[in-house]
Amino acid sequence: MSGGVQPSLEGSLLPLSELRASAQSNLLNLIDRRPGRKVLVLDPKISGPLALVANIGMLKEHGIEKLYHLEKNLSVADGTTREVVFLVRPTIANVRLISEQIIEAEERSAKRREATTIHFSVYFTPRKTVICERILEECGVLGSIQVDEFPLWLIPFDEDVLSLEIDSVFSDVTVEGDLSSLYDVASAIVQLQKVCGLIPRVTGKGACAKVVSNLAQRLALENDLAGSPQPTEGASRIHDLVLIDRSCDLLSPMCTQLTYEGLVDEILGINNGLVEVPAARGAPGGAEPQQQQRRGRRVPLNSSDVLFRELRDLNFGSVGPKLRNKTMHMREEYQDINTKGFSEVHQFVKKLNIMPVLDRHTELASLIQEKSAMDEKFLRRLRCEQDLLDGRGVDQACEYAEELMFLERAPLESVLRLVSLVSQVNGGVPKKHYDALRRGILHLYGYRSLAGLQRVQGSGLARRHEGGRNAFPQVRKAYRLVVDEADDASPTDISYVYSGYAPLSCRLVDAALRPGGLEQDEAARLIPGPQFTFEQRARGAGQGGEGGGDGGRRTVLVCFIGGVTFAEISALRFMGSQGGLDVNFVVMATKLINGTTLVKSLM
Amino acid sequence: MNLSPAGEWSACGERFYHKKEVYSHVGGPTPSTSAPKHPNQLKRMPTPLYEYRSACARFGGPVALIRDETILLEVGSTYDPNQTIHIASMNGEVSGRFPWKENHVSGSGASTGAPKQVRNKGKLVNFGWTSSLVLLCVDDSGSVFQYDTQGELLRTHFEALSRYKLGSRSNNPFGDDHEDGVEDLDGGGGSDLVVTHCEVWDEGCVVIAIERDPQTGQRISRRCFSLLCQSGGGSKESAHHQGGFLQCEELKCPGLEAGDIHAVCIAEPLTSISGKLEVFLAVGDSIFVVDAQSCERQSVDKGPILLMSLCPNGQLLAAYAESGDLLVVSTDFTQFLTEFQTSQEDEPDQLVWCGVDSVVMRWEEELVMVGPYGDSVAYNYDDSVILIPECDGVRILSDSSMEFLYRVPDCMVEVYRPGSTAPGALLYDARQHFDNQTARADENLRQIGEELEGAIDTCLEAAGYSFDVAEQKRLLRAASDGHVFCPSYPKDKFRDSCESLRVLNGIRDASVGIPLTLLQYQALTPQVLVSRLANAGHHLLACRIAEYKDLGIDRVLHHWARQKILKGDGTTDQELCDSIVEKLQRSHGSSIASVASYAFQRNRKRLAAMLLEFETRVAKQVPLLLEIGESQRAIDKAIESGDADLVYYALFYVKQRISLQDFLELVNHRPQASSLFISYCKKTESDSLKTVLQSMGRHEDIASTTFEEILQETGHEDAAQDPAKFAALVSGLQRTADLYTFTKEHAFESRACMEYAKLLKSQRKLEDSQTHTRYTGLSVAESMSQCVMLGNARALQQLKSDFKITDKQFWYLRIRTLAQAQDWNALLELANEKKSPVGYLPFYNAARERGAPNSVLAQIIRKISDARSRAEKFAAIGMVNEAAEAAAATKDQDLLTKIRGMAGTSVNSLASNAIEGIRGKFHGSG
Repeated sequence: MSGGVQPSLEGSLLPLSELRASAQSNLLNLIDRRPGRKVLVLDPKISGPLALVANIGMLKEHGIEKLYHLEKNLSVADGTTREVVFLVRPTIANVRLISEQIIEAEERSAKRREATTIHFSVYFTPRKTVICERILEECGVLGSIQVDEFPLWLIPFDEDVLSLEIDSVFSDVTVEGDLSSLYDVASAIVQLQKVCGLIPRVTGKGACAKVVSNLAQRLALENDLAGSPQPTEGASRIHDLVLIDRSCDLLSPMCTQLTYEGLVDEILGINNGLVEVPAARGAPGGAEPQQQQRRGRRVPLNSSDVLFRELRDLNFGSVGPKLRNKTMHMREEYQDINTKGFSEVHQFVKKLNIMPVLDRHTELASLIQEKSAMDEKFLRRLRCEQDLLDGRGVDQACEYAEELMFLERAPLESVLRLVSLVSQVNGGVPKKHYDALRRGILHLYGYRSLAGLQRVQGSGLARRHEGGRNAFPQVRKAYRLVVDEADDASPTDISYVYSGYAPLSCRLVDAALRPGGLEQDEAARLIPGPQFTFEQRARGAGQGGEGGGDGGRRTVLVCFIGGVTFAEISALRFMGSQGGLDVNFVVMATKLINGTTLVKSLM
Repeated sequence: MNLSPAGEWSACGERFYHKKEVYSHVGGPTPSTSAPKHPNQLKRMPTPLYEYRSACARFGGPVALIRDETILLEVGSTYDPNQTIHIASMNGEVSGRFPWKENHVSGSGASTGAPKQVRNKGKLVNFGWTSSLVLLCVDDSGSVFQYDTQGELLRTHFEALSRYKLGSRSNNPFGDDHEDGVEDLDGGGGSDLVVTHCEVWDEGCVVIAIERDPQTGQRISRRCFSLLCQSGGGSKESAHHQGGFLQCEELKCPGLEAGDIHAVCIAEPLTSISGKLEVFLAVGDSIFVVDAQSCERQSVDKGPILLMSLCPNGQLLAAYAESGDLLVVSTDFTQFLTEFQTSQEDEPDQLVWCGVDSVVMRWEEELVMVGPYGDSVAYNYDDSVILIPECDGVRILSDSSMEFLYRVPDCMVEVYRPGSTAPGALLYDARQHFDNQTARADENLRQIGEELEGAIDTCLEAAGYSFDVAEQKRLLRAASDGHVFCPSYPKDKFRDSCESLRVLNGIRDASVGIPLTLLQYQALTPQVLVSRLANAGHHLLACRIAEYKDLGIDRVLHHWARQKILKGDGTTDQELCDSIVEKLQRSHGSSIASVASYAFQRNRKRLAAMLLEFETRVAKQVPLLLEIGESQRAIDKAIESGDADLVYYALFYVKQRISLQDFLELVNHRPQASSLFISYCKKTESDSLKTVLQSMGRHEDIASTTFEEILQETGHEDAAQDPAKFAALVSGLQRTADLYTFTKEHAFESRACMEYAKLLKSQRKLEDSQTHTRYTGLSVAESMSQCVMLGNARALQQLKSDFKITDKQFWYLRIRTLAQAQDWNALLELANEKKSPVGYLPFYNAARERGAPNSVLAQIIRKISDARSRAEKFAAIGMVNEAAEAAAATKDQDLLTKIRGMAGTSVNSLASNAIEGIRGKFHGSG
């Protein structure tokens, strides 16, 4: 399984494969610091993302013999282990668990009067923090262990997608008022700027975006990015940075994504670039071992898969015909094969390589088809969402939510997602429904859900309508969020990704790239949060670099603080592929999300 | 016409040597005994030199002088009881002086707060310079004192060898030295160690001591130690204010029985055979080579060796034997290269190498240089001199001048030797002829022909070796002439030579006094040169050179700023701050914080605070602000930075130092700090959380914290098993409900808590009445489902009314429960009970999803009031006749067609007939 999981990154505009290679060597250097055979204990939250950077074989070559996930009552000390390496996120809970491990191991070795003790190394990623060291100190273990950091800020998910994979950003910032993760975002941007040079134009919308841009500016100053050598024009250069605070567009993630990749994520869930295809749809042939059959197959989804690259951004409705076309084409060629010359046959055989991929996607697409377009409930939900976006059906949606709970006992996240959608389009859930829904949730899912409910409220996802004007209709009009005559099969506008709704976040990006940026975008004032645009220039940078577009397309880094959905990424890719803007997008996010995972992160 | 420089050369065998005066008027009058009243009064090096013991640094560094106590005092001059050590640079300018004999107070400087102890320095055994220009002075008790070029004491190690004493309490030869700079007084005990010899080299010194019995005073043994001077934290350049730590290692040593030690010389690890530090000891009749592991005896025929010197490349050893012979031996003692019989009766005062191939000996008024083949040259002097070996020659410091004696390099010989017809000489001559406008210029050039490139090389190289600017110019012009005719000659080479010469001429200037040759400059590296210049106070020149060589001027500026603070007692904080900031801001990326930190160390707290205002790196600013006690500003700066980690750092720092009350007051006004602190408290379940929340008046947070606490304390399992815990949970919930009433907006939460308590009580009651069933832990809806399953209609109604479950919700709940249980009879019963407030579609959907038989579904479908959906549902379960009937009722043509389509071919003719019939009727009426 090694290697196949990671996207090739060859075609990236930014030096992402170098980024990945340096992360790899960083990690291996950390591991090599201690001699001999080692046990690696991983934070479950980073083991997935880490697979996008390093693979098991690589770790084994460097002496990692066993791999555990950090959890309660884990016992790494089995008597033969001499070296234990922890690699974790710098959270208090993790540090507590590590301390317990260390203390337990020390007590045990003292009891057995073992001469040699275990040596522990703790590596925090992306950086070690004062708090963590303090807690290690309080637990009395700091002195006997080695602590350092593994600066893995950005994890490349694809040629044009980078993620920090910190899922707590949205909840930390909106609910706890803890802005510490924004510093991580800024650090990641600066890390990128160290490779790609100072980004000359920065624009953004939202309170968090403002904070991040201030921080990044300051960090750039401290690192003297303006004075360090800039990469030559054209080569791995970023021209624009657009910062979008998720809080400015909570609506889009609440809608069901309708692109191929988005829908796969909604229905099966894509984690760290992998989708798990249920085993019931068994793989062809009995080549795979039994165990894997039961667990389902994990299929990597990234642009190294040529067919997926073609399909991922399409509206799901056009995936079927496309696949059918491909298959037909193959068959026609096969039938013509008798009349062909030797070299043409060779060409055809080469093309056969795509067969397993074609097969895989046909299988995946039919599975998705069954669970979406052929599913009454799915369609009903979709209708309800589209009515809401059109500005009708608030009451019906609330009643539907009640039915979801009491009749279907849908998962809490699914219910909250619908309630949030109502709240977003209506400027709050109507009073008469709000308390009933809240009570309903407590009655159905138990009173212990109260805390989660409060956090959803605190995050701004859902709230009670307290009178006042609802700005959404104006925003919808100003940004043409709802497009009626959209042809999903041959789209002319990004609204195809939600079959008729254009994600606000992407419209903001579009506005950001117009002259003047978001700062001078009047419509953006309808959305709460500051908007800004500024230019920064490296010392000694030639004036000729202005705009950067003399001949070449501009590269735009769009940073979503609080997460981005696959449908939004598809929309940006579509914007890039259309002539109008003449830009290439690279997306950076704190986490790849969908509405359900976003709500879950608050629970 | 200029005189050829070759006129000043002297031949020694086939080689030429040149003794060039670099600086004149070096020495000054003998210093008076009283301390100088005015700094300008005694700026010159003291003379006569023969009265002084000296220590000279390599690479044109300073010389340290102390009056030799063994020499009688001249009548009329006064005795200096302090034994002042003077430090002078090569141009004779004194850069610092300090009294050796002075009761030393340990813990000097602002950096250490150790209790002050008064100790006496012993007799100075020897002193010398390390490569980072730290003067190491070693006294006979084994104490090591480190001074900088200004005579400032950097660090003291009292009795650095005490732990090695026999019978010492801490007899741990592997332990490191104390790093606080001051040894324990009582660390010794046991025998006495008296230092007899000491030799300083680039990285430290080697000390030889005699061990005596404290009672009898008898000599027990001789021991040898290597003390390594590690620069503490900083690099070589920062040694100015950061004397190094000492690391001690014992070396092997020939015993007392071998005889007395006549001479010591050190082979540095870089050039020694073993690659480790080796010490050559002339003991008795032999030479011993010792290191940490071994002590090898090398016998030398000529008997006792009195003086030794190692060649700069470490391959040859020059030794002067008692017999008056000078021997040159390879360091592995396999080859005896030169033997030279001196005519003097006494042993020489000094024996040094000049470059790598000749040896210079000094007697009182005569210098004798011996070349590799036994040829010699003698130079006579009126006054006393000191020889300072360099890598490519020897410096001769006399009372009046500083000269440099070196072997004339081949390139110069080629150019200047009378009658030379080498290409270099021809090119040089060509230029002369050109200037004199004679045609021979061209002739010369033609004669050089193919060898032009070599000729240019030669001239450039010679220019590099020349000390005379005019001569340099002539050589460069010659080279440049050649360059015109040789377009392929690399431009860089020419430019590099000129650059190096510019730097060299700058530092050779008498006012600077660092007379480096090109080779020395290359060996020293420009970086080290720049920091040496800064240390010597030539900041402007250092900056210029650093900028010229593109080295970055940060270090120089920082050094300058520190000096400014050190010496700026008279100036106000504001003036100092302004001038420092003005300069430092010119260099981007230089850290003002380190300067501020220095100001703080120098007790200029206000200046430190003012400087910190200009630091752009918050991560450096905050810790120092905290240190100087500006907690509020530190916290504000940390918050401004947005780096939560820094805020935490500041908060923890402050919290440890003030009371919780004061701390909370400090934090309360800063929402970002307080939310961070609360977030920390929440995650660490800190006891102080509620106190903190209380003080901030965040009632809703107190309530939610209490709520979570209660739930965590008592799980459902506990509550079900243990009546006491159950009671605690219920009362806790009531308390939480009360807490929520503090704020108007949280009425919902308050009610929810009350309801939760009520639910628990109802569930307990249910459990009491029906044994063997568990309700605790279920939600309201789940409890009701359980009642439905158990057929407990009374309890069900009770729960419905207690928790105000609406009819709709109630029906949904029952439909789901029954369908899930696949209890179709009960479901039908419910459908027939009374008119459903939610219609009958939910019945149908739930039943169908759970796989109800068609008979059940049909019964449900009949109850659906809307004909259209009735038709669709009938069709969906394949009951076409019924579907058609229902469709007919809608009078919808399309629907009928659709149903016909759905019926397809599989449907029996009866059904299709029926449809046709209905259609017909329909048409007829329409």
